[in-house]
Amino acid sequence: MPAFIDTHLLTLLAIILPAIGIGGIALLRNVQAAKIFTLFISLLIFAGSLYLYQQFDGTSAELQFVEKYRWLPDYGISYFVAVDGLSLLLIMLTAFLTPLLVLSLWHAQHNLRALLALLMLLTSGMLGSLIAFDLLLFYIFWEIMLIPMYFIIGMWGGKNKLYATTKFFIYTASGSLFMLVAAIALYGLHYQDSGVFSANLLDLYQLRESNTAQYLLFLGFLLAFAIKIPLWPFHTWLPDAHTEAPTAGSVVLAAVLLKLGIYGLLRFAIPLFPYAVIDFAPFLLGFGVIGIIYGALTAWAQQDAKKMIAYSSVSHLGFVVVGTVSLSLSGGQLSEIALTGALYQMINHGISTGALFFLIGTIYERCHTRMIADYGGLASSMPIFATLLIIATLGSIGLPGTGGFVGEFYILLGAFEAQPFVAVCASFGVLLGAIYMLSLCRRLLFGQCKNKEVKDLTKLEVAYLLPLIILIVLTGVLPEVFLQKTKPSLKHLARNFLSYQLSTLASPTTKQQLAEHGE
Amino acid sequence: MNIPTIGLPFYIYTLPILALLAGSLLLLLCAVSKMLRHPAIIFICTLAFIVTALISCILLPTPDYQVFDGAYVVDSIARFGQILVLTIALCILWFSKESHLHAQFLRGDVCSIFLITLSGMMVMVSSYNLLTIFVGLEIFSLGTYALIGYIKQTQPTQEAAIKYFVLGSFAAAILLFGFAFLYAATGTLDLNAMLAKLPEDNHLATIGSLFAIVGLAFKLALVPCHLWTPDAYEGAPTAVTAFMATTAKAVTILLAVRFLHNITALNTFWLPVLTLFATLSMLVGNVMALVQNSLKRMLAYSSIAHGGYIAIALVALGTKAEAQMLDSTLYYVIAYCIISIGTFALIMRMEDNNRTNIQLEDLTALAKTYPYSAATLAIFMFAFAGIPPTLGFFAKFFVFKAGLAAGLYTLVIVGVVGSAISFYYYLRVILHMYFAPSSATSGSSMHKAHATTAICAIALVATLLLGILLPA
Repeated sequence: MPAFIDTHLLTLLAIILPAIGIGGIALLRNVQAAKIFTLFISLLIFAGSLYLYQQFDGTSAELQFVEKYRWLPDYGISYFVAVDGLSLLLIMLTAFLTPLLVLSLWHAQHNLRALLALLMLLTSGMLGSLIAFDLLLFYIFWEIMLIPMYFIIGMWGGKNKLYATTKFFIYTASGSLFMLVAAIALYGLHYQDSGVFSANLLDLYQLRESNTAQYLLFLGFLLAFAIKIPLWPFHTWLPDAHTEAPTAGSVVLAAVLLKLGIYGLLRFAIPLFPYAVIDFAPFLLGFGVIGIIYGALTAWAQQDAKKMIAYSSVSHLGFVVVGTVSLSLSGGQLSEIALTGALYQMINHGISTGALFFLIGTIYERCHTRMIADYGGLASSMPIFATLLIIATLGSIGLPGTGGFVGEFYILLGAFEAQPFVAVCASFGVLLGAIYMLSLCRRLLFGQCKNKEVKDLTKLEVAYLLPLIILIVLTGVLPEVFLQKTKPSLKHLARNFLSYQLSTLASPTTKQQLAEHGE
Repeated sequence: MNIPTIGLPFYIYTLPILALLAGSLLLLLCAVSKMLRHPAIIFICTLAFIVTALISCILLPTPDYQVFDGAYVVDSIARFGQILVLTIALCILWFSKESHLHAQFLRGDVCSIFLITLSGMMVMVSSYNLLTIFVGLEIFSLGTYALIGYIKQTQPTQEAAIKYFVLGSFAAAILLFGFAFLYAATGTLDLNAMLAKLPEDNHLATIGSLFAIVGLAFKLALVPCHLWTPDAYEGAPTAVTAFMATTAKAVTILLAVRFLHNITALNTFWLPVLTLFATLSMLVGNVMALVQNSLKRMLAYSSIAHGGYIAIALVALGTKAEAQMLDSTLYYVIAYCIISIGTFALIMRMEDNNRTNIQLEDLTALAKTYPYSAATLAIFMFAFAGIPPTLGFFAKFFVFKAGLAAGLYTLVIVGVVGSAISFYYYLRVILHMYFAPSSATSGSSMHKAHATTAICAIALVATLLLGILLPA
């Protein structure tokens, strides 16, 4: 059994455990039992991810924990999963959030078992997309994420849920279809080039297409990822989806789903089509900067607390995009610092925005309104809430001492080296971020007390919020601890993205076996 | 011409068709006998003959066979088509037995027509001779017209039958006209021989192939030859709709595969036409489906759109005859049939005497009263839309791949845009079932129908697992 865990850790995390979870929820008629069971499974997933982190060899840029089985050998399609420094932290984030989400749903009433099952399916889709190294497998996991999210918004959402969920689905699914066509075309080009069918990402990295082909294929992939990120001007689904989704849905959406768009850029679009990236980078940077400023200004104008945080996501993700496509002036290299910042900022944004959505969720449950004007003076009636909200806000703004600062600083530093003008424009976003987030805090927490009878956070709420709040501070104080194991991969991508190649590292057990055989 | 030999092999290889014909004659006798007129007897009799035909089909000896210079052949396409048609026919028979129209359906004359229709379909997929093909096609078309209008004689069914009949006969005439031109140009009715003799710049042959394509497009319900489809689907009793939607489409595609394969010399003429039809079908079908309220009507437009996707594979086959093009076509046909059968099984269960045309509103809050049925229907809708990991996704994946391999970039892009549009109307079904306001109660009830449910469950399992376990 331990050997099985070592060799199949990723499958266990992304498929087997969630499947057991869904099966268990289906069998357990008792809601209480189903909740405890799901919590148990999600804790197992988290424990598994910790084990993954501990076993991960942080000195190598190669793929680890590789599992590869033939699936459709005639078509060169395989079940190929692995992890490297690019996906490690995102996997951790996903696995870390799942138990918190289950806890946050503890007192939800309506159809809870279905919600928990969908959550498990969503976890499976997210983890699966992060570990898949086969194009078809990736696409399948990528689309599987849509279905639970569609139901979560549609069944447990707010007033305008039908509009929001349909828009969400059509936007993202249409984007994915273009990616599908580009993926098939890429697969076909590889066949023309080498005479062998292969959807294996490592084989596809070695393909060097003509520039025209790269442009078209890149656009196909970019469309899917840009919608998911969401990059301005493809962001319009996000405020609706975020606002109408139930708290847990907003948290997953903000914390992980959006990150998968960036992850897609890092894993697929950039290394597969480097020359297209070089030529499109000015546009991407431009869209990123517009997203930063536009998102911030729009957030400032919002009356609805959830909508404000949703637009702040557009702004923050703009930063991440800028960090992702910052090319150094010398050309041929991505800025490693900016890339590191982008990866780190993804994690920070996931944690702080997740915490913010949770917090807004708690007051929404008490007062059933999202309008900022309906609140006031919560600091006196809900002191714990006020404390946590302020820490989460500071994390979101990027105050020194929180992870947000490290991420934004790295991004701006890298971007400044590469494109000073972009960095200057982007830094306005930091300023605007402070303005609208602090004004949100002020309007909710201070002033005349409009919500005197509201009870403060319960122990359970504190239990699922506290880990996030602690992480906001930890990521700010000890960035090296988190970033250490991702560095080789990021360096490899930044330096060699024009001729990106990946190889697989033997898993710890195989290494052990090799050692035993004296090799 | 060789002298045809009718020996034992002939009877063995034609046993499935002979069984169906014998059955239909026997059922006619049952219809006039007072004693044998009982529905149960009719049912068992029909079932027995279809099962006999199916078993003899499966057990046909492995070497391929042909007789009368290719007028009747048993090759891989024929075997595939025959088994598919008979399997679906079994499902349809159980559907009709458990539908509210079972008394009308299980009559000797109706079942006799049903078996004759099946035999026509089977002849059509098992021939290289244009004349035989046409006879098979006419037998099955006439049978279908009758089944639509004869089972339940109300105004909508009559309208559907007449509309389909008039337009269908017109299309058959065009098809026959095309065959005649091809014959005039080459002097042979045999498709294989035709390939060798087809001159490139012969106007007769060009016109003939175009006419034939239009005739086939009508049967496939490709835009602009689709006008009969929504009315026929909506008006026909649902069991017959399911029958039309699956078998009729499948055999026509098999015929198209056989036919197009053999007029590749002329593909500069007919490929653009078929490309145009495919493009229009995917766009018009998907856009029109957006505004439908009747579930069957929506499925009709969706079937037009799916016809368009299959046409991508057919165009790919015409551009570049490779094994993967044929595989992707057949795979799509199987996938489409399985998903359709499952969907229609659920619709059948919702229907009763008062409600024969299920509207989207009837599905409101179905998830509350019938969680399993709603979940199943939702999965079928996702499968139609082509969301992984369902069978529908793999079918679309292979078709798009075949299209790109043949260099049909525009068609594939149109297909993608069409699929994107289609998400909306497939989601509407789910929207009604799941996202109704909590005060709404479901107005519909589902009657108990064990076999229909079982078929639906098999289709569900196939939809979910077939894609992952065994593509192509």
